Formats: sequence, C-alpha cells, structure tokens
Amino acid sequence: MSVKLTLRDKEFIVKPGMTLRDSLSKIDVLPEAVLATRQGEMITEDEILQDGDEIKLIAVISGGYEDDKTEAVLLGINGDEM
Amino acid sequence: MRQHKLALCAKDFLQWLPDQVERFINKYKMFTHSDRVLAAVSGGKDSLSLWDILWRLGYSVDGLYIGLGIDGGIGYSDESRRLTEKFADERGLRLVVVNVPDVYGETIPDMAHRTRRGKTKPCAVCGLTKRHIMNRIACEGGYDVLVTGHNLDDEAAALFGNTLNWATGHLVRQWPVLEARPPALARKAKPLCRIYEREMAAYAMLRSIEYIYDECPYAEGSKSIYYKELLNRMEADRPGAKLSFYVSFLQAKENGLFAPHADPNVESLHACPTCGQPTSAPGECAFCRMTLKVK
Repeated sequence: MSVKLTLRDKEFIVKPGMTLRDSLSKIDVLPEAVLATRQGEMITEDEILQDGDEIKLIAVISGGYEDDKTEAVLLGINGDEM
Repeated sequence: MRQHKLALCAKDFLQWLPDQVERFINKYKMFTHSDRVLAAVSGGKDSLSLWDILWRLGYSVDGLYIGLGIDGGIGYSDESRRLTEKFADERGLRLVVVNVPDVYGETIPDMAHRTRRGKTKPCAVCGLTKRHIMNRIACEGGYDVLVTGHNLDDEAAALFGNTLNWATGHLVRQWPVLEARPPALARKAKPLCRIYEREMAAYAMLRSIEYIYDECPYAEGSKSIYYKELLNRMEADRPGAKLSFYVSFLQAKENGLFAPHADPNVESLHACPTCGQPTSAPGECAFCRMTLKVK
C-alpha cells in the first residue's frame, strides 16, 4: 500500500489516503514549488492519493540570474552598479 | 489557486490567464495593439508562455533569443535554442537570434572567467550581456517596447532582496513598466508581473509548450531561488502573501512612498562612445569595458 512521488531524480513513498497537499508536507516539498501530474493529467492539492498512484512532480521555480545582486534584473540601464 | 480563491478547469484556465495578462498590460499602460513588441525569450516556461499569450491576444510580437554558450554538461544553451526555434517555427513567428560566442568571440562562462565580475559565478556577466543585447536589438529594430517573462515570484523575490538591503535606487525603479530614456534606452515591460510562477508553469503544461526544464547550471544556490523558497513558505501558510507583498508595494509607490531623488541614477544618462548605448557615468559602458578586456 503506497503512493510514489517523483521530483526530478528523487523518489518518495507515502501512504495512500492522504491529500496531495498532506503528502507534499510529509516529504517537505512546498506546494507552491511544484505542479503534480498523474498519468499526464494535472491534479490539485485537494486530490486524495490512492494506493498505486504514481505522481510526477514538476518543479516550477526558476532563477539564478544576477546572483551577486538579485535586484539588478530590474535595472533598465547598461550601468555600472553591478 | 488558493491565492485567488478560484478553481478552474483546464479550458477556463487557458482563457482566464491570458485575460489576466491583458488586464495588467492595460492597467499599467504597457503597450497597445498598434505597438511593435519584442519579447526576450530564453526557452523557459515563462518567456515562451508570454510569447504564446501575446501572440494569441493578437499583439505584434517578435522574439529575441540570446545564445549564451552555456553547456553545463547538458547542452543547456543548445537545447534552449532548439526549443525556442521550434516554438517560433510552429507558430510562424519571427525570431531574432544573437549568439554571444559568434558575435563577441567568447561564451558567457569564458567571458566571466576572464573578468573581475564573474570570478565566482557568471550570472552578473550574463545579466549585463543580456541587458546590453536586448536594449541594442530593441532600439536597432525600432520596437516600441521590450517585454520579459518576469513573473510575480521573480518580482516578489527581487523586492524582498531589495528591501532586505534597503536598495532604494532599485526600489524606486521597480515597476511593471520602465519608460524609454535618452540616449537609446528602450521601453521595457513585464506583462507577467502579477502572475504566479506556478500559474505560468500550469499554462505551459496545459498548452503543451515544450520548454527547457533543466535549470541553468549556474542557478544552483542562487539568492533569487533562496528568496523564492522563503516566500513560498509564507505562501503555504498564508495564500496570497506574495501577491499582497508585491501589490502593496506598487500601491505604496503610487501613493508617493519613494521620492524620485532616492534613485542615484535619476540624473541623465550618457551615451557610451563605443557602442552608443546608455550608461550612468561618462565614458565607456560596463559592457564595452568588459568586452574590451576580453579582446
């Protein structure tokens, strides 16, 4: 009796009968940071996961630009502030 | 979408999200249907989805892809270019490609390695280069506005970082639109500034937009991602926290929170004698100084 969740190259096993939101909490993944799909269909955080479900988690956070000054992305000019 | 107290089916979501984007384009007077728009596209979910949305809304919009020469063991730049060109071909859209190694003789990581700016990571060099090229192409191509795919999470994370550092100059300039300024500073807009990053990912998935899923190899451990994680912890406990943070800031600015003189760059800009692009101090701009060092 288990549900498998995958996020990039990581796999997590949780018990069935919980909502997706509770399952994400168990594996310490923030709901805002992922989209979840089951058999290619997107599911909501309120979905109750069933025994045998295989859930693919898609990371949605991107970034990394201007590491030494995050705010520099806002500059409109070709300036010397960086 | 707990932040909006709204649940939509796929069909309605694909109608709702572009409607929201158009609402914010109009609200912040970003551009009109008679303007020529240049969208900076990276091959990621936000910029490709933005291009798709603007195209579907009937705007006149070309794309600009900047090849950075980043490999990272995954062919990052090659793959992002392939996906961007595929996207443009499928929709019959015009894509301008500027490949940094071809034009400047160096990849971004190599350029960063040779200069003081990029000793630890190439992100600062990358940002400087992209801003220079985006502005140049927007001006040379006679576009009315340059748009980028910065979403609400990007804006909230930047606001968070700027507030932690009380970077008043950056706070003064943070706004959905940056007006054109002489000499040759293109108008810029961020049509996704009030759309959650997760909503953009959902749009890309539901529209079957193929985007580069791998993160830039240099993004790991970045401050921007760290700030996003902190904000997402707040969002999990209090849905709408990110939106409230950003929108309250915009409202405070409209109410005069920041005086213009808090911006150290409020003085007029100067034209770089080498490339003609604007710079905050007389003499060559930071980009030309950097590339001259490389040469």
